[in-house]
Amino acid sequence: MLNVALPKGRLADKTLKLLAEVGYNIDEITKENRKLVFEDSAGGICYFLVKPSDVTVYVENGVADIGVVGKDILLEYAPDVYELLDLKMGKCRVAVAAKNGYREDFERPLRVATKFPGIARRYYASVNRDIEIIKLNGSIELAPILGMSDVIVDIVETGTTLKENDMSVFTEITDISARLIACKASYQFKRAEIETLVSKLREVVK
Amino acid sequence: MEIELNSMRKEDEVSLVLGNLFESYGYKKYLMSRFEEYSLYMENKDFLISDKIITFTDAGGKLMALKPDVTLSIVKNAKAEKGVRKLYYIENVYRPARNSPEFRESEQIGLEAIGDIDGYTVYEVTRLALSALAAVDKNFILDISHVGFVSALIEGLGLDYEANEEIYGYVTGKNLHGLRAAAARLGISDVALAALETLTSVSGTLSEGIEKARKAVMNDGMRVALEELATLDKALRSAAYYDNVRLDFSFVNDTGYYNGIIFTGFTPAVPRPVLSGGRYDKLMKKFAKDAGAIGFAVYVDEIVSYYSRKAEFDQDVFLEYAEGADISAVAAAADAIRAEGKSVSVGSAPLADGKYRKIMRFDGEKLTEVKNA
Repeated sequence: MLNVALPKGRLADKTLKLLAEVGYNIDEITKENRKLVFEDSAGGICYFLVKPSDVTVYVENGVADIGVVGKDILLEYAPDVYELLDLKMGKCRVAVAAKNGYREDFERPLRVATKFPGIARRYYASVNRDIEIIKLNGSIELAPILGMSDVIVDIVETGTTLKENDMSVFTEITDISARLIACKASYQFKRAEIETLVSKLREVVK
Repeated sequence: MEIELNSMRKEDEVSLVLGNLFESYGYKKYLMSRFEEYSLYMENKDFLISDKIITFTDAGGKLMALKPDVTLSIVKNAKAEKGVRKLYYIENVYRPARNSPEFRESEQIGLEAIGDIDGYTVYEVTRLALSALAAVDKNFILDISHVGFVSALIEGLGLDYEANEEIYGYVTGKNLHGLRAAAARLGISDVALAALETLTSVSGTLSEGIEKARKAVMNDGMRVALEELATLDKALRSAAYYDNVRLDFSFVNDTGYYNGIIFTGFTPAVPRPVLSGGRYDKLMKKFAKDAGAIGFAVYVDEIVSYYSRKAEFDQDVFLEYAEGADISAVAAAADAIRAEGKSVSVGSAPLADGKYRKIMRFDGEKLTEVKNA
C-alpha cells in the first residue's frame, strides 16, 4: 500500500485528476465530505489531505511514502527527501514585488516582508544585499502599503493581487511548480511501487 | 544464565547482540571519556551530524565538550602501526535530536578498522554492517555507494564549486528534471548528462547496479571506483543477506572526509537511516595519520523511537500474597515459578496498569490462579 500526502486545495484536485488519468480510482476522495483518509485498496494506494506546508513533514517522517508539494516549500524548508518528478502544474513564480514607483535605496538595509524567509535570505545573500526580514503568514502585500517593509518576496501567479494594490514585480527569483517527492527510507522498500507510479505520471505530464 | 531476548528492550537487545558479534570478529571494545576538548569538534564540524555541541569550561579554564561523536576521538588517538586496529564502541553521545533544537543523550554503537585497509577489511566491515542491521530487523536494506565514483564524474565536468554542489543536490535528490534543466543551463554535454542520469537512477541488487553503472564510466577515477565495488560485490555474494544489498548513489557522505565505499542502512519501521558509515581515509589525513580507515555507526536513538518492546506482557506472573504471609514462604513460591523459566513480580496487589500473563494468589500455603490472560 502506497501512502500519499496531498496538499489540501486546488493542487490536490489537480493531482487527483492526474492520478485518475493514469488509472487510479479517486471516486471516494472527490465526494464532498470531511474525511481525511481515503483508500483505493484495488489500486494499492491511500491518500490523505494535509496542510500544504505540512506535506514534507509527513513524507520526511515516513507516514506518507510520497507527497505532492510546491517547489516553494521545498526551497524554503529543504527537507531531506527525493524529488522524483516535476508535475508541471500549479505553475507560478517567487518574486520580489514593490509599490509602483519604488526606488531601492542601496545605502541602507532592505526591509523584506515575506512568508519565505529562507528563500528571501538565500536570494539576497547571492546578490550581496543586506536585508532585514519581516516574517508574515499572509496578506504580505499589506506590508509595503503600510510602510512596514520596502519590498515583499512572495508567490506571484497572475499578478492580479499586485495590480489591484498598485504594486508590481521587481525581480523574479525562481519558477515554481508542483513536485512529487518521496521519503528516502520508504523508497528503499517500496521502490517498485513508487517507480511505477512515477513512470505512469511522467507519461501524462510531458 | 540464559538471556531471553524477547523480553528485553530493543536497544538493549541490539547492543548485546552487536557487542558479541563484534567481539567474535576480533574487535576490541574502546572505552572513552565523556569529555573532549571543544577544538577537536570545532576543527572538524562538517564531519558531525550537527554542529551544535554542549560545551563547558573545565577547572583549568579549557573549553570542553560533551562528545557529540566517537569516531573523531578514535581517529585522534590512532597510532601509526602495522596491520589493522579493530575497535568497537557502545557509547552515549550528546547532540540535538534530528529536526529538533533540543539536545539529547543517545546511544551509538559502532566499529572502526584503522590501518592498512584492503579489500578484505572493506568486505568484513560491510558484512558486519549487514549482520548489525539484521539484528535490528531482518527486513532491512543496505545501500552501497562509492564517493569516488560520484565525485570523479561530477568534478570531472570542470564546473565551478557552486555548480558542483547543485549537481550533487540533484543526484542525492534523484531529481532528473532538475538535472536536465541544469545540464542545458550549464552546457553539460549529452554524454555527461547521460552518465549523470544513469548515476541518479541506478537501482537493483549490487551486481545489477554495477552492470548498469558501467555505462556511466567516463574516466579513470570512475573505473577504479567501480572495480572496488565489483570486488566487494564478488566477495559479498556468498554472505548472508546479500539480497538486501542495493547500489544507490543518492547517498553521498561529505566528500571532504569520506573517499571510497560508503553505506547507509534502513529498516522499514524507521523513516531515517539506522546505520551509516564507510571509508574515511581523508579524515585520517586531516589528522596527519598515514593510514586508511573504515567504520560505521548504528543510531540506536532512531531504533528506540520506532521499535517498541516486543513482549506483550510486563511479566509472566504476578504473585499476590495474602497479608501476613510468611516472607520466606512467599519467596520460595516465587522461586518455584522462576525455576520454570518464567518472570515473576511479587507484591501485595498488582499494579492497575500492569500487564501480566497470569495473576496468582499465595495465601501462605498454596498458590491459586486468580486470572489467566
